Amino acid sequence: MNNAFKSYYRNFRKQKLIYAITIGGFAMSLAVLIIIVSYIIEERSVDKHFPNIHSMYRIVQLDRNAQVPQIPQRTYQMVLDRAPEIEKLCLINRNQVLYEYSGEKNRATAVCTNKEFFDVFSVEVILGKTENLLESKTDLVITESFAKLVFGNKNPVGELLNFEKNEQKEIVAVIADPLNTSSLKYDLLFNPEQELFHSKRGYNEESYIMFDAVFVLNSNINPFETQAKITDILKPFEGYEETLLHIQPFKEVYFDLKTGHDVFLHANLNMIKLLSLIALIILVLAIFNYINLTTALNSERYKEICIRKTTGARRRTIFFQFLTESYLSCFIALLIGIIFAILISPLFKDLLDREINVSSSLQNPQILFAIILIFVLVGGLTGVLPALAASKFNAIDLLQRKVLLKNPHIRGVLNTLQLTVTLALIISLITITKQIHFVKTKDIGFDKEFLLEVGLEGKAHGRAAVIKDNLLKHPDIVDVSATHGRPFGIYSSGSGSWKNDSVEYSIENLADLNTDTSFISTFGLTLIAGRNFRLTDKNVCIINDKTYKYLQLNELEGKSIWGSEIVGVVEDFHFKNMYNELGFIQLNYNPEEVSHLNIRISGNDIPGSLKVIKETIKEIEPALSVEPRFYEDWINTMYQKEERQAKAIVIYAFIALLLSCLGLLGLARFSAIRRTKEIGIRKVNGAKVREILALLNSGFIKWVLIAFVVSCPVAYFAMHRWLQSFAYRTSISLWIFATAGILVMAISLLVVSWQSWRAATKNPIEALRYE
Amino acid sequence: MIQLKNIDKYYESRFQRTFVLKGINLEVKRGEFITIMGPSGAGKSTLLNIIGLLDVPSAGEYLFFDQPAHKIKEKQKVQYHRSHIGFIFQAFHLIDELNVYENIETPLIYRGVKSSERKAIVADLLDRFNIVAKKDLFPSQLSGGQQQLVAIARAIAGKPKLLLADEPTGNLHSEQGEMIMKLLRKLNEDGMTIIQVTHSKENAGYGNRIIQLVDGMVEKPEAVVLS
Repeated sequence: MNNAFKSYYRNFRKQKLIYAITIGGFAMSLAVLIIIVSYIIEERSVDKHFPNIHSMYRIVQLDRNAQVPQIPQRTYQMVLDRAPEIEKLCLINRNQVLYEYSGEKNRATAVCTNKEFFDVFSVEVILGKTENLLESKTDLVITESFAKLVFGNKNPVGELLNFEKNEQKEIVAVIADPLNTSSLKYDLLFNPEQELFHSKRGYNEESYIMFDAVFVLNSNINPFETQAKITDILKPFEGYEETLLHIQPFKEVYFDLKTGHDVFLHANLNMIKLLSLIALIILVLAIFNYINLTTALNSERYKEICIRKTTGARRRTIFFQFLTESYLSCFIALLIGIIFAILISPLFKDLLDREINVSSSLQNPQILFAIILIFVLVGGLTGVLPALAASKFNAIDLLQRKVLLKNPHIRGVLNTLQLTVTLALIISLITITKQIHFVKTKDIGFDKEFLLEVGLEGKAHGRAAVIKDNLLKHPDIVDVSATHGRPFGIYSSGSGSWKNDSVEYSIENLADLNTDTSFISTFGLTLIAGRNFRLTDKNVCIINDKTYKYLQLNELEGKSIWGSEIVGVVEDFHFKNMYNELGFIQLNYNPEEVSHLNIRISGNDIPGSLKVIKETIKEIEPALSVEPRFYEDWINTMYQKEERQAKAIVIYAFIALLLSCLGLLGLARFSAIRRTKEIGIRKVNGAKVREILALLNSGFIKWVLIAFVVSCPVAYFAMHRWLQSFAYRTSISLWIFATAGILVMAISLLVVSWQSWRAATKNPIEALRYE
Repeated sequence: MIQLKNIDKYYESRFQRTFVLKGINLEVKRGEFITIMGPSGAGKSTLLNIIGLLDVPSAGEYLFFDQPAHKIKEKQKVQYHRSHIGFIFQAFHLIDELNVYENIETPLIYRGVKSSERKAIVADLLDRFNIVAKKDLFPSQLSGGQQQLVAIARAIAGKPKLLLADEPTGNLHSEQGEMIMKLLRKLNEDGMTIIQVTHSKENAGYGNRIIQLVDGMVEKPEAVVLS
């Protein structure tokens, strides 16, 4: 045993670098694998922690066109009457609210629901009363972390919070936070009777207030029977004649993307499946490469094995030695991999939009079992294969090097595959990066530098004119325009037709934006025809050039859109992100109904200007602090999805490159050993080191070239499809392929040359000495 | 042509120097056929490697074609391997993946000889050694003697001035060995300088001078009467 450890340690020391790379590479792949698997497990465990999960269902409306995951509030009692086996039924609505505490206003996520909520979702009450919660309209239940945030260590029960529309609520209980793996997130709980909520959503009649409905079913009842009982409840209601009610197991909700907007968080199951596939591929390739490299390294030790055999080592002893060593290597790799995983998991938080807790997923028995399985399998394979090879042949054969180290074709094929994936990923990465750069820098028709937007909320809402006047007193504020919504965040658009002097016009997706007289000057646009708004105007609009041309108006005299007189035409500018074609827009003169200010500053004193804007609004609404945002920054955030994709691809490309390099390293090592004699002969016959390098490397260049030829069309096709989601696309230029090809070729050559160089610079007499 | 003055070759470990060669003095003149003899471990092969510029002496002066060997740069050594020195080994050392023709062609490729010229040279050698019929065979398909013939053909393809043979008949039975030795003598008669290492007295007889090595030192130079 001691001997085996010693021999391992000495072998390691003799070839530190290649051993370190072998183990490190395997560990790195394992680390990424552990993180991805942790993520998959966490995603799959969402909502599964609810004790009722297997008897929880939600009600979904089904009609010909859509699935709507809500029911009208007034059907609540009808459902319960028809199906008494529904043990608990809770109604849920969720929204952002502004609350005020000790003179400060902030946002929180509120859910309004009934008291059954606590039973359905098994919510734990930490402080305050536990019975008849949310009975009264003024009851407020808060979560633990919200209590900490607002009240610190003070007992919050009995405290009052103020909400919009002068509503005041009393905190009656503190509950545990929803778990990380819960698809429903909230800070506050209200009871269902909230004007605050529903008027905001635009539902004024009680009959149409819509709620998500989740219930617990008596476990002895067949859910199909319950569904049959409630399916036609909506039919008597006007407009719902063809709508059926369905029930959906709650455990399916998290991965349900088909059903429309609801209060729950969702994830794409296909994404999870794709990640699982990637994890599996990484696992297989990592194991393959590791075995490949370790067997290559072990094959250099045939002489040692022979000597051991000739001095009387039994087959079993050699087996034992190799197994000890390989399990030791494997153990070290796993250990480093787990440490790596813990260290690099924070990098993935942003990417996967979820905090990855590696140490807790390691406590998962499945993961633990998988790791032990990998350990047993990989350790065994890497030890048994060379030991088997060594003990199969007799010692004299081995000493005479009659055993040819075979270099099976499969290694080459797998390596080419890895290189293909690497190349395709790098090509995709460059294309995505190029597209992100393209959309971010594309001319959008107005000058976005030094242009800010800020929302008007609370008391500032409706006081746009005053704020605007106050702002314009400052020399660094160049221009201000108030809008309802704003370019790149348009609130409404319309489709339809109208008549102008018996000529019928129709248009699809005409965006509309309420604004004032200074819109055109603030955004630095040019009026092509007609005039700007006047302060005395009523019910007039300006349209953009594209709309003007589309409607073929020819002249503006007497033209209107839905009764709003067209007074001018402005040049085209982008008001949506680059997923969308430049659209039709109608600017309405309506300086009263506005929600945002667009502010152009001189840029001479940016921090000063920002301070001026914040303070000016604070004068009107002291309780709320606003954050003005540069259009440039804001527009850039619109491509976060792509940036996240790019980041994910960076990681995959890195892993693929790592695996390819390890594979190549193994291959090169093998080939260098196999051809030691040949290299010696060639050198003695006058071959230069350069010629030997060329000879050895040319074999590998062939693999890279094949990979390149295969990956280019695949990557081109994939990227071409990816770009289709954008209305404005960058070109998939030739240089992208060239860059990726040269990069991979250079790295491959570097890796291969390291081994080839070793072989080529060896003194030939060493290679030729032993017969 | 070749002069070794007081050549030492030793390996240093932490506490001691192990001498492989000590105080070797040797001069080889153009057209000589020298045999280096000695028991196993006497340093014969090391000496041959030093002469062939594959190894460097630890001390002493070595003049290779009147040029101090320690001043010859790595690049220049490769040039000498291409144009001045041919090697023959006990184990033949043919490239298994190449056939007879290609094996003989190898040094010519490294010398940058044109394709048509290469063809002519190889064809000439095949003809001279009577192995034309075997030119498409691979080393594993040849007998030992035939393999050594190919190895010699390859060694002299580049028209070297010096042929170094390390136990050229060590792996052959006597009949084939004799054939190879006769061939070497023929080459020598045609003007090739040859240095061979051997165990066999009989083979030594083909040369015209014998150097006896014992424990890294020249025992006594001995003139050989041509038989």
